[in-house]
Amino acid sequence: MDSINDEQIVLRRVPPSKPQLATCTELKSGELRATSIAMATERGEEYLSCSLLSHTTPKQLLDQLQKFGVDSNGWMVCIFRAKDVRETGYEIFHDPTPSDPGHCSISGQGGTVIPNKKLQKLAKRTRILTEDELEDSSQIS
Amino acid sequence: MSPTCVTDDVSAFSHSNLLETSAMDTGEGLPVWWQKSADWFRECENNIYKLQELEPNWNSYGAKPVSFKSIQLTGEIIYELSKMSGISCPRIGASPTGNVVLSWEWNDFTRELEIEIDPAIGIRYSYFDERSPEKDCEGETIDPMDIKLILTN
Repeated sequence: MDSINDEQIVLRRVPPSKPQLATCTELKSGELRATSIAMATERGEEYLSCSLLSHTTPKQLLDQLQKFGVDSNGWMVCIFRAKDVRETGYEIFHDPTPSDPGHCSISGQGGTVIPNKKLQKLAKRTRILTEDELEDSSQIS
Repeated sequence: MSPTCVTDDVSAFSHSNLLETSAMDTGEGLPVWWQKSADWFRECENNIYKLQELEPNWNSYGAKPVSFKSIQLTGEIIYELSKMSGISCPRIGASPTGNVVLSWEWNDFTRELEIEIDPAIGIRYSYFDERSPEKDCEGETIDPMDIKLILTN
């Protein structure tokens, strides 16, 4: 299993935000971040699926929506770093799948089920990519 | 954080609501409780019912559609909360399990409370305070007053 260094950037899809489904919120800086709605696992689920920017571009991540028959219009991608995962008390490991070579999994420490409040904390460390960053991932820092 | 109770049957919560609603009816057409809920209540309730429109896999990571029981129960809880002073309109969402989720952020975004309304449990809450991490907590309750205590303390 590949190890992931602390500075590696991790991606996750974020559904379109609506009044009845607040998947992102504005930071004081004016940037957007994902809410825990976009970062949640099913109760009892052991892993939160994400992707590594080093293997999967944000555009590729959104293109994966086609296989679910979902229109990608309005969908967003949030980023955070592997160290954010670890500092929040999670583990992260590269877990490639046939459809996503950059797929990685986040779990509680020791593979335990993820506690809710930690997901809230991880969500606070995310940032939603801009349209320009979605189109050109070299702009992401 | 006050101790909370856990139940596997939320009918007690629903029943207490019905008793209160009935007791406050003026008998003149419009029950008093409609006049006492906060301005944001109706729009919030409408948005909660729109969660029925979410399709399976709405998050693209395998989420379930939102259960109607959770929506109905959330409607009751949000009504109770809207009558309490100092409670603002929550952010609305859903959990991958298929329950309604409500959240509030306050104190310059340093405090966050998230509640998941699970018809089998009642209210599952998760609170954290960046400035006082010793106050972080998670738990379950059937009493909206516990939620008010967290939001207003």
